[in-house]
Amino acid sequence: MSARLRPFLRAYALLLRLYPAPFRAEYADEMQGVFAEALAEATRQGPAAVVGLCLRELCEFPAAAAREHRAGFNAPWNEKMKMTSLPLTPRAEIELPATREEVLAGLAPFVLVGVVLSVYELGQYLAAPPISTAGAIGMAAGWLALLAGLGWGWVRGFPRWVYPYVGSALFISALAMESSMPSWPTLGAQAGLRELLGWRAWVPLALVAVVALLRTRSLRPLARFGRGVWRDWTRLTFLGFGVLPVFAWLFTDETYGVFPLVYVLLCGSVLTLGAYFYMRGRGPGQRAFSLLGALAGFLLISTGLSAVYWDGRVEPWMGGTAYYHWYDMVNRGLTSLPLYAAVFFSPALLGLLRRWLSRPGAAA
Amino acid sequence: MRHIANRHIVREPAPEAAPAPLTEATFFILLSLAPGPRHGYAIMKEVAALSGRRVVLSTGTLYGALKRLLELAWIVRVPDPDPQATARPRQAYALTRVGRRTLQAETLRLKSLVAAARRRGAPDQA
Repeated sequence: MSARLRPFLRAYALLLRLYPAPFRAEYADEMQGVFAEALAEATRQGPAAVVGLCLRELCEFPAAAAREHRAGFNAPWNEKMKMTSLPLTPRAEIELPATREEVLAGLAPFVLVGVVLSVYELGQYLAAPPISTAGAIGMAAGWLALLAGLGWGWVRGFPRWVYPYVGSALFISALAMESSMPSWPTLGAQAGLRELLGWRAWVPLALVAVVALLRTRSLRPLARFGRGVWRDWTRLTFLGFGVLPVFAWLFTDETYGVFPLVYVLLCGSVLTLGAYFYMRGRGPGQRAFSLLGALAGFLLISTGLSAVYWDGRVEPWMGGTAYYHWYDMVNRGLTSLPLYAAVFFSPALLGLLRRWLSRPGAAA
Repeated sequence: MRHIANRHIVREPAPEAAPAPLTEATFFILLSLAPGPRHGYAIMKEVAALSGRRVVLSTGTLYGALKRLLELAWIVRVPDPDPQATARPRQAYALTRVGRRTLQAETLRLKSLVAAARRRGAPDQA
């Protein structure tokens, strides 16, 4: 193949990556071969034929790719699980690092929350209401995106990347219970009556569950959730990890200036990095260390920034006395690391239990 | 037994009774395989030749159609009838019995349409 044609073949290979993974697995090689033959033939006919071939491929590609994605989405759930790029048995999924698409999906909650909160805090810092408003709208859009990701992961049988979506959605719903009502009537209650959202905060999550159950018409995804956790306890830790971006933002309550923005940016970055190494890890051991490292980084940053911000600071609500000094924050940070690690890595007990149950002679 | 888009499991209707007309791309793909098995690029060229270059398939359209025809069992994968020693191995496709009957049924349907048009005196020359 002429060197002049290789860029076309590389561009075509990139286009192929936008097809669904099962379709690519089955047909990508053939399609590349056919395109290469068509390109060689077109080259013999002249530049106009090459341009015509490339234009035809580009123009028909969106409809063809959309058709395959739609066919994959509409397939019955059992067939869809056979069509996924991973085998049905979770063992290979547990041992192998995630694919590029799975990594992106797993990072999305951390990146999304980090970006949205950073925009909001930037608006607050610059005292620019349009930017804050954009951040607030981003929060609503981000919430919808999280729910959509959760629903999609549910339908796909709870692959590894969806666990932080579960954690984030549960945490945000629980937080929202203590939020006050919006100014429009919501499920029988309205602002002005001093009502909190309460149980209504769980309605979006319940809707996702209903849609996913109707879509799959099966409880097998939930069974796969349980089986996935049983075989790889770090998934539960990753679920809790999904809580941390919003949790970190809550730490910035009653703080001002550039602190919240820097805090959210740095903590969001280290958590995203931890999620990346988790998704690329092989086996529970590597993944556990990824999350442990990210948790330690998160607490280090949190402690350092808090120590700098709160050292001797006197706020109006403190009544003229500084509550904290830097050594108080450092002490708090150092003592909280074991507690956080114990909470987040308590699912390791599941791994120990599984090992104990599967020891030689345990079945007897 | 085949799953179709609305998830009802139905038996495939006998091709003679198949109500839905085939798309042009599907018809020409089946027609190109009537003489014998062909690989993907040969199908693409044959479809263009049969249609007088009116139907020129992109690789995405071709393989989307081949995938659906495989799912319907109208075609089947076979060893390449024209292997090239130095080129990468190619996959060939051949009509199944059901696919051949479907093609015949569609050809009969199109013939009946043309006959009806001629009876009405519709011109069949541009």
